[in-house]
Amino acid sequence: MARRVFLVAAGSTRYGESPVGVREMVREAVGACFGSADKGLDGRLVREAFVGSLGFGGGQIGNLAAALNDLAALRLVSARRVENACASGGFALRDAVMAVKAGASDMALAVGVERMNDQPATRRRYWLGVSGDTEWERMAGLTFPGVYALMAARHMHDFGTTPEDLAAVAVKNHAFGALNPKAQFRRPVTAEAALASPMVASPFTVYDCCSTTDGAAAVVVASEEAARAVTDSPVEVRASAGSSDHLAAHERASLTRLDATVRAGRDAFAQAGAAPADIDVAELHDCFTIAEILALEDLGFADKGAGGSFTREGQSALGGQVAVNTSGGLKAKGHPLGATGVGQAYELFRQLRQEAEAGRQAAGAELALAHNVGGSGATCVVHIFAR
Amino acid sequence: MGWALPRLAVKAEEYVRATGQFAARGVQEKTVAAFDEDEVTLAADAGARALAAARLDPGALRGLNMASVGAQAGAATTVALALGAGAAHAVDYRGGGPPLGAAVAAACETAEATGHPVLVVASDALRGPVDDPAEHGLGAAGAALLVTKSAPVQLVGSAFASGAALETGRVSSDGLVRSWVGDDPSAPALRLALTRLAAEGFEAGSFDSLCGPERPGPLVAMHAPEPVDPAALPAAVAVRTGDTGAASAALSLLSALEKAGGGAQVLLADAEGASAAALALKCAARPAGSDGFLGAVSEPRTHLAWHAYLGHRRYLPDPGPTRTVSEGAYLSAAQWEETLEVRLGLLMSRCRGCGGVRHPPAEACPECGAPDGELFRGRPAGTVHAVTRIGRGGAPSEFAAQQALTGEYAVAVVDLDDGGRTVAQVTGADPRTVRIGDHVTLHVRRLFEQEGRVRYGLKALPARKD
Repeated sequence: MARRVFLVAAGSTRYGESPVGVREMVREAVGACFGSADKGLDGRLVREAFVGSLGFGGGQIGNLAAALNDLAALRLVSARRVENACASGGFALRDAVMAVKAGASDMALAVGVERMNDQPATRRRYWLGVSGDTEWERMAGLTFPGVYALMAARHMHDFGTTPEDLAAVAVKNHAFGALNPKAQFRRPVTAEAALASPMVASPFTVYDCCSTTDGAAAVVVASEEAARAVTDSPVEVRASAGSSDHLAAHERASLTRLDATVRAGRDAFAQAGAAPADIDVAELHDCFTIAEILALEDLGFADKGAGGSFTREGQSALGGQVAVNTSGGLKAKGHPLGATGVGQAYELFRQLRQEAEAGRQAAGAELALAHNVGGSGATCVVHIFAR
Repeated sequence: MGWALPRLAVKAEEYVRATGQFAARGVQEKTVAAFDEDEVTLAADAGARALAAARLDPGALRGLNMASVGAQAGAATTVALALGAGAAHAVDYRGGGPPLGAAVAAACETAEATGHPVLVVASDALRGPVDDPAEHGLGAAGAALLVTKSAPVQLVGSAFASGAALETGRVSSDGLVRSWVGDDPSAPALRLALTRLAAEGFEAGSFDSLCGPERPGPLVAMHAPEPVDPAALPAAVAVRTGDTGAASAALSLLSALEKAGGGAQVLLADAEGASAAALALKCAARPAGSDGFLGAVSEPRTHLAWHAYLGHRRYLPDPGPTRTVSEGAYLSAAQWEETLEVRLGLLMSRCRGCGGVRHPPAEACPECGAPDGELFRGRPAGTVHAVTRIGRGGAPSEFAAQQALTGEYAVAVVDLDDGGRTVAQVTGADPRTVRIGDHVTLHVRRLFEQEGRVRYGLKALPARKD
């Protein structure tokens, strides 16, 4: 019988513009994580560590995970970097869960980190394109916003999704971000301001696109027995499922569906014995507003094509069918590429323990889902957590 | 035959407005190669037109001779790949000699000797220093002549002449054309070639049409050993195109053939640097694809304002060095060359199991796994499946210079007519007019320069919406 796995501690830096580098951000996040343990946590019991990071900027591409040795408790830990572009963090968490399930360790650490804003604008532009398909998409003049914009354009053509539907996602997530002390952007935005902002790649304006963000987050997962020594209110990892699809958007079966999300979502719900209607709160990968709409559809919260109206009707707000991106999401909380997947687990750990700030706490949340995507849908990992 | 004329042009009066002068007498406006066009793309477009008019499979070509004063080494090979003629022997004929004349004579010899067709393409988009009067008249165009053993137009006589040994041609080592110091050395060479041709029984008066480069006046008329009958001169082309370099004599021939009757004897002269060629042609009938040329020349073009002209001509300074050295998400030059035939020739595979079509070709089908898909060359055409306009700041660094100079561009996912799907930048149309469902054709265009070389790829050209 497979071991049950629990989240027992979580920590995060504030997302935004970091005055310190990657190694210091990791130290801060891991320190905060160990410090969050209700009954204390002996880091030396963590024998496997997974560091999710793209390595933006190319500063330390090789052997980044060894930086964990900056923390005395993690000296000599078995560590490695995990990379799946923006899904690096989620896959680092998945690997940590698998390590505990397999008995490789009773406790495992998943850290996500990315620093993006120390790069000059021209280098940042280069590095933003590395998670897309280089051989074809980039050579046609596309970067990240362009690929998702093509998906949005087709979604609007096939289902009548409107720019107002996209703006509704941004408005909701910025309202949540305003209440989150960890968020990069702490001011609400109106639909009018979002629609009137400059065009990046049609139909996307600036407010349809997540920004570049520095940040780090860390969570510890533990076996049932090890968890008891750390906290009396652990959060169970009921499901962990990963998938992948063709690298380039135009190689996939459909521009308006992420098959990797569909597959990972189905597998996760099957593992947890749950359905979308059972989920109370979710962190969905909204690197662009259309991405949240697609995720609602591809995970089964809304019918295909109905993600826009689902949002417009408030079904993804507090009090709706499922509270989506109460952290502010990638849009408002920020998207430090490798950190995001772990940051989603940090948020849901706190939501399920009723520890989030007033105004963005999903009351009585019992079941939560995290959805993390790499590139434009090349990789995807879904976790389901339970109180 | 075939031709390719840019959609853009600049008027002589715009030069005068911007700089106070325009030195190319007689030229009213000249064609301008867009930022993503050059002699390679014009040659490919002209060649494709000629092959289509002749309904000839490009795989049947024995040779591809590219005549161009300004092209870089290897241009003929790139054009051959773009046309799907990868097996043809591709040869560059560049400045110094008479590029078109030499290319045509060589093609005739090969076609005669082997019985197989040879495609001659001639194109130029010459550039010069903006403050040099020699730049004023430089235009852009491509032309193509399909040479076969039993073509309606036959070579019946030829003569060549070379001048002083040290002459290296108009194009300096930096790729720019400058004013001659002293007289144009091609004038005496042309006179000598025409005299030699006359000595073989082809006097100027024996020709119904006298074709040759317009620079911008007709060189044949200006430098023939005896006065010529003005009625024998074809309708002037350079007045609308400017000096089109190696293509000029071919465009003059297209102009003549459109009016020529059956049985006409036509002179095709060419001169460049200190060398010249004079070819005597007998036209039993008009070659396929020569209709409509003069109409295409006088078609209204999009006229550029001065700053846009400088931008498209790549005369403006590079906004930053970032585009020449990639810092990540990088395709090495080696990888680019390896995949060039697949990209430019639109090679595709059809699965023997499920029939699925893919570009680039897949060895094993990603859908059903069946091995050894059938390789074929797809028709370069399709339908827009999705399209986006990339605004400022949204372009990868390789396209930052293009975007800074020419503004937003559209990128489309295209459902190919032969199956499969690809992604391509859109060219040759206002990006705001492109819609899902529009039909497009794919053409080779400049993408960007990296590490000293130009990278070419396919872009999507929407059908004209009038």
